[in-house]
Amino acid sequence: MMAVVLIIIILSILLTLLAKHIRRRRDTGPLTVTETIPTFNVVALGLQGSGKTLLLASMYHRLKAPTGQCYFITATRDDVLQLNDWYLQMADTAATGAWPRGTAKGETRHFTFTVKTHIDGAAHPILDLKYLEYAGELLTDLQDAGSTKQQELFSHIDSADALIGVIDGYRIRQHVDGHPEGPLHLERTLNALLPVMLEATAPISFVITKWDLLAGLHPDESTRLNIVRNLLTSNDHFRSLVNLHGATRVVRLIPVSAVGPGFATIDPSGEIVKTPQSAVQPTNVDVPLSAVVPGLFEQIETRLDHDSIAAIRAEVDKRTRQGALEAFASLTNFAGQLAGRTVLAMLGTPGAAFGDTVLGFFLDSRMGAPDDERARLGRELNEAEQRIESIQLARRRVMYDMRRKVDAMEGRLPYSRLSEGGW
Amino acid sequence: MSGYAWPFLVARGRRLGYRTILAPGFLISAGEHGVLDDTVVPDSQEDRAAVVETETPSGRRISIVHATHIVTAADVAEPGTPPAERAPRDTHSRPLQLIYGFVYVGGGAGPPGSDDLRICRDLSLAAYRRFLADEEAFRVESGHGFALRSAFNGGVTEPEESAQSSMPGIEDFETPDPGRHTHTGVILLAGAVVLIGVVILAMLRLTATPEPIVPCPSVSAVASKTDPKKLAPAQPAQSKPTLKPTTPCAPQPPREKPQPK
Repeated sequence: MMAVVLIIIILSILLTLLAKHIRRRRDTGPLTVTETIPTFNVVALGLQGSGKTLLLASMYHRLKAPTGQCYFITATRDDVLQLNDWYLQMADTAATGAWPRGTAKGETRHFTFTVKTHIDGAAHPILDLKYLEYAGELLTDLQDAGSTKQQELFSHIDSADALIGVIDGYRIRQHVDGHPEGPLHLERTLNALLPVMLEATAPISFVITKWDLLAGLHPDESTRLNIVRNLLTSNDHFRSLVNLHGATRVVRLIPVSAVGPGFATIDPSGEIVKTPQSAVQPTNVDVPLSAVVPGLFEQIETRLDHDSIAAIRAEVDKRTRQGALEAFASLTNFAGQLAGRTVLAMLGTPGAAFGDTVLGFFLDSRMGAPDDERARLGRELNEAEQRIESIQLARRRVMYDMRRKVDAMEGRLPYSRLSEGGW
Repeated sequence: MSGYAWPFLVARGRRLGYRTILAPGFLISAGEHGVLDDTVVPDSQEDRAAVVETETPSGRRISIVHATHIVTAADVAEPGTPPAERAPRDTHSRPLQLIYGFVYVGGGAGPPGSDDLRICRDLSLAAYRRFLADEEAFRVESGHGFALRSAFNGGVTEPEESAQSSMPGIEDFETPDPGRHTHTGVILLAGAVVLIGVVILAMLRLTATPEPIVPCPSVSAVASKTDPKKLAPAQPAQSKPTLKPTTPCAPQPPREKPQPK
């Protein structure tokens, strides 16, 4: 008897839930197209103390306003507070003059930066860059029993869209000065970076942090970079890594300084100390992040076969002549074709979820400069078309500015190209 | 009611990165002391306590009460020698910091007393000095359990073994959790009320007399009623048209239009 009652109760609960579910589905509002933006995962691979955290703080500080480029980045309130705190500690030459403390393993987390640009006077998100902040020892040290953070880190590295190898400029300086710690530390860095980067399918680049501490190597910055480049490429493993990745795209060596020239010096005991009353003037900190998306798209194009490249160029050409809604529809069709599917697979993106977002982004990035007059601009557009048109143009402007940043640095420092090819 | 706890320390050395320096013996023997290193985060304010409840990989529920301390020159001075002029730094010129505190088994942590934290900081500093003396050779130390000075909810109230033991047999007894029983009771009560409600509702529905179904007026019919041009002069007495049916109705499937021949 009890069993029957129990069955009836369970059945009534299930029927109630089913009825609710059906009602909820019926009540769903009109179908709307939600605007999604793509997310790119970035991992900076660097040992503890190599300057990852200060680079992050300085990079945010440099890109938080559209100064010198059409885009800017935003983050959550908590992240902004943390980044500002690091930046102010770094810039503070009064009080103790201490550098920010190192990142603990428990502080491992992503900072999600939304790249935005203004469309008709309002800020509009274009893409998200997820940047992993972690304790550098996770990359090199055996972990305590029961710790899972290292496993998490390597899982993030495996799914990264771009890897940035961080080489400590202070150790390079020690190497050049003949200090025994220099070559030892460089070897340790390469031992940590190479196994990961050799197997990576994501585009890689290298960053020399604390570039300001290398000012004494040579007065000319380009010559200085060449000295560092020669030092690095004298390592067989490093050279083979560059050759491997350089076959499909440009591998860059980007000198950066989170604090800028003259802010810090090395005292006789070897400690890096702040110069009293000096000001922070970061150098090239915006370049590594700006190079991520153009670098990824460039790598995809160079890995495609001739037929796919031809199909993409045809689609890009068609896109320049189409209206916004027409281009939108055409893109859906292209996503189903072989070339479209190949690009989406290389981006590791499910076409159904982000078909237009990422693929459209990719195709827009293959077009010319954003101020090129296109046939479709002369046409009369309705409101929806104008909106899509504006977003596409904004994406192209952002991509163009990102590439321009890298190009400008390469113009000044041609030795920053470790390999040739690409854009 | 006082509890029983074990000190711990997570810190970075001059050369080596963050690691667990001091941990409860029962975590070390279970190969789970890495959970401390994974969980604790430094605080921007020194010696302010924070409590984190977590589970070890084997599912043991623990509370970690932790605080941050920036290492001073006096902290690391050799006994009998004056402290250095400047606070110690790591090889990357960054200040050294300790994340110290105590662990107890179970949840429901309240604010810890300053005495308890002070004891842990002293024990941690002693362990840290041993670590700095030879970072590479150092192995995690097992911390001795101690009775908490402050009133502290939860935790193990009676040590199974004396404080001299580094592993006081925590694995053998179950952790009491008074909150869990209360929650379970509330959930069961709520479930029973919901069930009774559903059964009553179902019975009411089953016993209710169904009302006769009146078909809704068709769209065309309603439209013709509302369109004054379509109102025939032969129907002057017709009441004011309304879109709402006066009696409950059920929607009818649309009829097929007659096909033109």
